[in-house]
Amino acid sequence: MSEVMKSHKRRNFLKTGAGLAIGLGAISINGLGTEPPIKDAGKKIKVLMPDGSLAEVDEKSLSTRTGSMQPAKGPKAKEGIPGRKFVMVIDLGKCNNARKCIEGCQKGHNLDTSQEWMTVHLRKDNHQSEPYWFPKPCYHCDNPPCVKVCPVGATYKRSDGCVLVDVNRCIGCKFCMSACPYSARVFNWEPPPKSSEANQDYSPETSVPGQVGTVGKCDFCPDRSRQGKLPYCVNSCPMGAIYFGDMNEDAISNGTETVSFKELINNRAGHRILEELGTYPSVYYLPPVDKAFSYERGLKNLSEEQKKKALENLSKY
Amino acid sequence: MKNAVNTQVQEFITCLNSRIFILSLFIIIISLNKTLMAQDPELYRSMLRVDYEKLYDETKMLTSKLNFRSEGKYISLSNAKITFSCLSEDGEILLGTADTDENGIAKFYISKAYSIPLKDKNHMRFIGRFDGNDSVKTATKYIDIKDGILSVSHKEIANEEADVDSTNATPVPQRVISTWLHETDSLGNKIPVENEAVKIYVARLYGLLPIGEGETDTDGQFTFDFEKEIPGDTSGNILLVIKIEDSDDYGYITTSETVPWGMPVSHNVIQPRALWTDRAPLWMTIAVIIVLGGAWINFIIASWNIYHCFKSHPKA
Amino acid sequence: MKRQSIDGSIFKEFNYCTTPPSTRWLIIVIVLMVIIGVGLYTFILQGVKGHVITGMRDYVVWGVYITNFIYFLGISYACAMISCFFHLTRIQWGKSLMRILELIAFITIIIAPVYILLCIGRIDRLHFLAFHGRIQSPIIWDVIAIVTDIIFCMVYLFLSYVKDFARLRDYTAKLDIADWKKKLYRKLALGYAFEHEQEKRLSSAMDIMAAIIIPTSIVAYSLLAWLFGMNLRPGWHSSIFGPQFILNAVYSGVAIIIIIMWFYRRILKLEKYITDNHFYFLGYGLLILTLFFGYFVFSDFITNWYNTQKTTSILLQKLLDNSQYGIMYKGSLFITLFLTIVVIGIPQLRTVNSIFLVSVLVMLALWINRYLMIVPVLETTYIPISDPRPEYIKYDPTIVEWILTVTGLAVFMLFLMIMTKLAPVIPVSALEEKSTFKLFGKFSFKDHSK
Repeated sequence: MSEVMKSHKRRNFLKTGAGLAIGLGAISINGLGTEPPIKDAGKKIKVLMPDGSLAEVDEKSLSTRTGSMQPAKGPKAKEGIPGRKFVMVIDLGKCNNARKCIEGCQKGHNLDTSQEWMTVHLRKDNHQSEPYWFPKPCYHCDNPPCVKVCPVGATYKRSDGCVLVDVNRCIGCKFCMSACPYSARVFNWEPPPKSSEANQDYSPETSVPGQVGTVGKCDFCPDRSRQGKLPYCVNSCPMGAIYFGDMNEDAISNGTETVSFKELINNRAGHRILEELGTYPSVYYLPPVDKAFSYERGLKNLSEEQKKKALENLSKY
Repeated sequence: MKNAVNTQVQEFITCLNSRIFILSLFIIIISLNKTLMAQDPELYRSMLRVDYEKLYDETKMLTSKLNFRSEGKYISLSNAKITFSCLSEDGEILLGTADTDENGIAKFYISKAYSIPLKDKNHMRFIGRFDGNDSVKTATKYIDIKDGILSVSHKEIANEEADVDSTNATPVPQRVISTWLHETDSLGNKIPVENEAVKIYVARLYGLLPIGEGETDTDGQFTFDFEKEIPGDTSGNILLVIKIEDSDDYGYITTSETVPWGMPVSHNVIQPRALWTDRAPLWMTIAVIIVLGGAWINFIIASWNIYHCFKSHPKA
Repeated sequence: MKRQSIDGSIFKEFNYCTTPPSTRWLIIVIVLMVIIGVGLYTFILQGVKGHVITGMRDYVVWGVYITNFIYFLGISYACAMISCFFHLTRIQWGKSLMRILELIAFITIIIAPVYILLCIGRIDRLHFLAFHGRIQSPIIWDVIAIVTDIIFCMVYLFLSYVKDFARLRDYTAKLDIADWKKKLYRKLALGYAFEHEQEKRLSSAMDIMAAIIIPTSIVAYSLLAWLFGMNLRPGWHSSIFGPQFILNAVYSGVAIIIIIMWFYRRILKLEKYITDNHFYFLGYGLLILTLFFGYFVFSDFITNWYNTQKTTSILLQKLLDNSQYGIMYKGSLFITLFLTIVVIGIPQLRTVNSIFLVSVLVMLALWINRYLMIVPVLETTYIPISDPRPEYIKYDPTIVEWILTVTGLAVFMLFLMIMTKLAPVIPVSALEEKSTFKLFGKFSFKDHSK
């Protein structure tokens, strides 16, 4: 080592201000480099593994945790990520209908711009109250009406809470669409846009590529969770309004802050939509209080058609 | 008193007026500048930030973030080569280069095995350098860092005084996490560091959940009472991450400690008999068998009759 | 002891099934074939181009197709039930209607499932229902029920024909008709020779079949009702749905038999077997069923209207609003609850033709009634869909859906026309059996041979 270092010293002895490196690319010898020196690492760290045990892993994977795990396929995709129970919390006070969650989701799932798995509605609790923007993904219910009615088991509930659709199994009977009280499902009336070559390998976890004549919906992005990444919508939200996490860990994150799920729900009066239907959704809402903006500001992000529909729906309250 | 307020207000207004004047001048210059730029494109100004972080295994990580300024906004510059070097008493030593990612961030790692030369008695100086390109100016940034050592231990102190009011017979033991921040001088003496903020997190899937923070005392120590109920793994272990963050002297220091104080979480997967699982409720299966069986048994009896009706007379 | 000596002269009255078809018959058959051809083309078109060429979208995921499905299936189950009821009770006047009822029951249960196939996005994966079926799903309940019912209906229909085939075999043996037809009768009769043992076995088999078809039909049609009732939706999630569906089915069954027997009587000159009394009796039945129908409609309405959830009130508003479904809703109720009662209830207005006309209108009203059970409910959700396009919000059936609806009717008519050429539409053998139940003892055919 010392010899090489000496040569480094000789060759790279730079006068202050000389500025330019002398024709050297990335150095990755002797523990210097753009990759963490894992092999040299004297100490590995312990992390909570997906199966619920603590294990020693390299530091690199602390932030990503399950980095090498690929999206599950076939029967494995029915099992769920062990030990997880995914949950989402949406802070209605923060949403200003930027619609970035929708765009992020559409891009990530290769959807046509007309098809929204993540949706944002203009909603009002009663005729006296101020309207607010209401992001609505699939609720991944614990007592899912859609899964109950599926005749072929194409949509199923996993141990990690995700309700997924296997479009290779789906016969397109649309019963799940009529059974869902939250209108979370959409039908591929036309063939979905062509996927890139890299995305041809279908997994119910990625939901890409979609198929004509089958049902699609928000999948909670378990393929991203396997890589320790938050769902597309969470990452795309400029307001940090969407939190996602693991109920078993009691921690949710919106990408910038990580908070305790229970504390947040208890301190901020978290609730679920249409609780009385007994579907037990996995998505919670924080009430639309302390809004820093008026709801009208969000209207500018809507097309004329969307605006008309949003205001029409509003008049029903 | 009232007058004084008035003068103050007047002064403020004059000040404001002159500021507005300067501001408008500035705007004119900028707009002139813009028209000139059409003929002679000027390079964008770039901003480089360099951070130092000491990781769990004493690997040091240099993180640089490169932005350039365009129309008042900072935009991250990707695929730019950042050169990292450090300063020794003899001069600058090149460590290596790294390219920025889509967020303008480049990371460079220095393993524990490499002894970083010191600039003076106890400081290291790291220099990040961007050499500029066709449209963005060069940028250089250095940081001076002292090598801080953060150590952590945990212990459980049995609580002797049983809570009289509590129905709980066994007293809850006191759980303490002790952290100690120190540096080593050239003679190898350990010198405690005081007044540095220490943050304690729990490692979770999508990030670090903060559970406590405080400052080191004169002995360089910060002790934290672990009282929260936090879910752990199947046997109740949780991984704590303890950090010094953005310290002027020490940069970032991260270390970890596994404590068995979490609530054990059972991860057994049960597939109940339910409408939404693969296995139907028992009564439903039985009902289907009864209803279908009832209908088809009759059909079989009828078929038996039909069979005998036509069997005995194969041909008329 | 063969009873070959049985008089075959009765078939002279039904010579339409042993003589070559008339030009009128041929023309109608060709027209129907053309319609069916267009329908087949449309069917394939939908298969190739997908559901996008229909009016179905994310709100109304089924539309006209499922309306037709419920409609035809209701007719089928009702006709099967009425026919089996006539068979079991041996009601003398009902015997002449039994075959028509069975024919309708059979063809409609063949047509109906085609409409549910049209609702399925991936027909190429239909076999998944068998390989991956989940017993928790109401669709699987329905698949099982319909398959069971198709088999039962087919067997029962055939059994009711056997004796007549055997008679036709014997009767046509000496007649100068096409050889293939003689051969067909021979094959279809399956060697039935009117022996005592055979008769006993056949009669027993038919009694068993008739006895199970009635409960099977009730269960099967209730299962269809529950397919909707199992949805957590205002307008569907109702425990009255099962009984209401059964009642509606029987109602439509009585109306359709009046219509079909009117045509048969007129075209085939069956006044001797289908008398004015048949119309009056079934007319009374229709009247009673109308009252039941009204009772169910009212019960459903007042429950939803008196204390109403928000989404339910939006649904009711849609049904009553003339710019939306008001005209259809009120029109269908006018026909069923007013016109039927007035026309059949007032003796001066009650004639064979008026009963027939009212039945036609009732069939129309009941179709609309089914449509209103489905479409407005699907358009009224707790949370709206996100797609703002007008065609996604308001269901508007396309020409494809209407063509395939008409095709269903054409297949129905074609089948009934072809079957008249195979054997008499009056079950000759059954008529000759002694009536054991004399529910309507005073009634006899001789009274009406004027």
